Amino acid sequence: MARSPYEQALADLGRGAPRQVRRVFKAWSTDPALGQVAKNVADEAALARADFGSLLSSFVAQLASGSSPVESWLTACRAHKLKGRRIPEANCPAIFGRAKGLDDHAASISKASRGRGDLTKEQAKKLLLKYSGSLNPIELDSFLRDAPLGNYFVWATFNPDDPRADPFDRLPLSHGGICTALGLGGDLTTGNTLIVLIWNHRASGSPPVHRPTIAEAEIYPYYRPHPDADAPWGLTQPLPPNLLELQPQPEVVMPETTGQGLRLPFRVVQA
Amino acid sequence: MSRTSINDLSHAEIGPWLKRALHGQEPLPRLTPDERPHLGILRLEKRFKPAARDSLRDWCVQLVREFCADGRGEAAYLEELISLAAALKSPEAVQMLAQLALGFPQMPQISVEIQLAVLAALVDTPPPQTPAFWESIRNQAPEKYAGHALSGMLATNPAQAIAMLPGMPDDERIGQATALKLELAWDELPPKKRFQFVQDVREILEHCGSRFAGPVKVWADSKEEPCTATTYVILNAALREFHGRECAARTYTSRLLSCSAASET
Repeated sequence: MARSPYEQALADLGRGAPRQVRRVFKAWSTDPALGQVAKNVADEAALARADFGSLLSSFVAQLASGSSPVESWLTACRAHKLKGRRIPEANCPAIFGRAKGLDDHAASISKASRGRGDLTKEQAKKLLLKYSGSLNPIELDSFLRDAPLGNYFVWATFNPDDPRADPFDRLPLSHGGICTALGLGGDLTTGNTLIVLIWNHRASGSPPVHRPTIAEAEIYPYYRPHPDADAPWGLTQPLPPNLLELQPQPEVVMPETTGQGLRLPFRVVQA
Repeated sequence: MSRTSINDLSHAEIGPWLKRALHGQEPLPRLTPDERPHLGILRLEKRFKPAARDSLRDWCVQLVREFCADGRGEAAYLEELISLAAALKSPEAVQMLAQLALGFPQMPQISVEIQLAVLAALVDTPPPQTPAFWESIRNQAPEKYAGHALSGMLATNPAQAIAMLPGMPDDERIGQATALKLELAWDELPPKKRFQFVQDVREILEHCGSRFAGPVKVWADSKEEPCTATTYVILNAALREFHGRECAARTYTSRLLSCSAASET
């Protein structure tokens, strides 16, 4: 049986290091969240052999420097971002979308407005609630477009059957349905009102779009590596119990970009 | 570290854990992989046992105290700490941040970004600061702090906030933000005070720079626009749908707004 990419990368590390890596991941297996992270590493198929080896090598070096295992993993991941396959510009979907926390996006708007109007997070949140669903959010429009769509990276989905369509048109409207389809956050019950953002890729500056890997997911336990090494993008893992039998959705990452290409209306979805 | 094991940490251990968590170096229940760490900490905090929750809050105040003492810290960490302190609404932390803000000129090591984050937290977090506080903040550097000073003043003394408008930087973007802030303040006013509020804004605009005043005037005008005939047609249709044609009144007029096109079609 052929060795997995993970086993190949481990073998490339040299003597001693593989045992160290395995020891950490075995220790993580008793924790539900970190155990899933360790499993994801073993299942990763989107990283080239050299990049996978470099990621694990960096992890080992951080461990050797005395950093904690989690800190070591995060440091290694942050040095290996956007290594998944890039979708050629010509094949990029025209429209992307994502769901994120309302509080998180309100904080993004507030931060982007600093020195340029100075909206606070609570003000931004009230305005998002007020203008949810509006095609004409008056003066809020320019603040929406200045705010980044993600923090450091933007996770996004699209409609593979019609890449010019709003990807949320084929998802349930409900909070539970969206979280289930996109595999967001598991059993969160508080503070997780969503905002759904749709944007035109070209109008947002056409940032490079990549298939996500364990490096972008860091220690997020709801990420699942797509098992097909040749797939151009990732797929979400719908959350159980998935009573509506929602299908996995395409999943990509791109560098942090602003909402210049935002399509209105945006939508706030209460839990 | 799982929820259960955090509950098992001693008070002394929770401090370093919180610091790592604010740096994004602890597993947290995040809605999305890129969500800000303090939001995950807040979710976790709600599930803590009382002792762990008290420790977390005490440590948050302690970390704010350390920041206020020397003004130092990595920007991303300080952003998260200030956001967490604001969300936990500790009066002690708010008081320390307010004192820090009054002393910004003596703390040049604090970047403008972080200064603005502190002021934003003070606008958002009770107890509200006094009008004298916001006046003092604005006077430190009107070009930098006018936006938050206006927000703080609007929350406590709308009339005094309106009087600040002529001192706002003459910038269209700041005018747009001000229009949004006035809209939120208008929403929270009792209906009988709204008309005068808009009138007061309108009257003072002639003393403001034109770039700033433009968007604010558009907002003020939007509050005095009469309802269109379409508005009443839609209202009429909705009432008919609800009550049935026989019960629907024939005409609908507003006592507050002049509009002659309120007849039933």
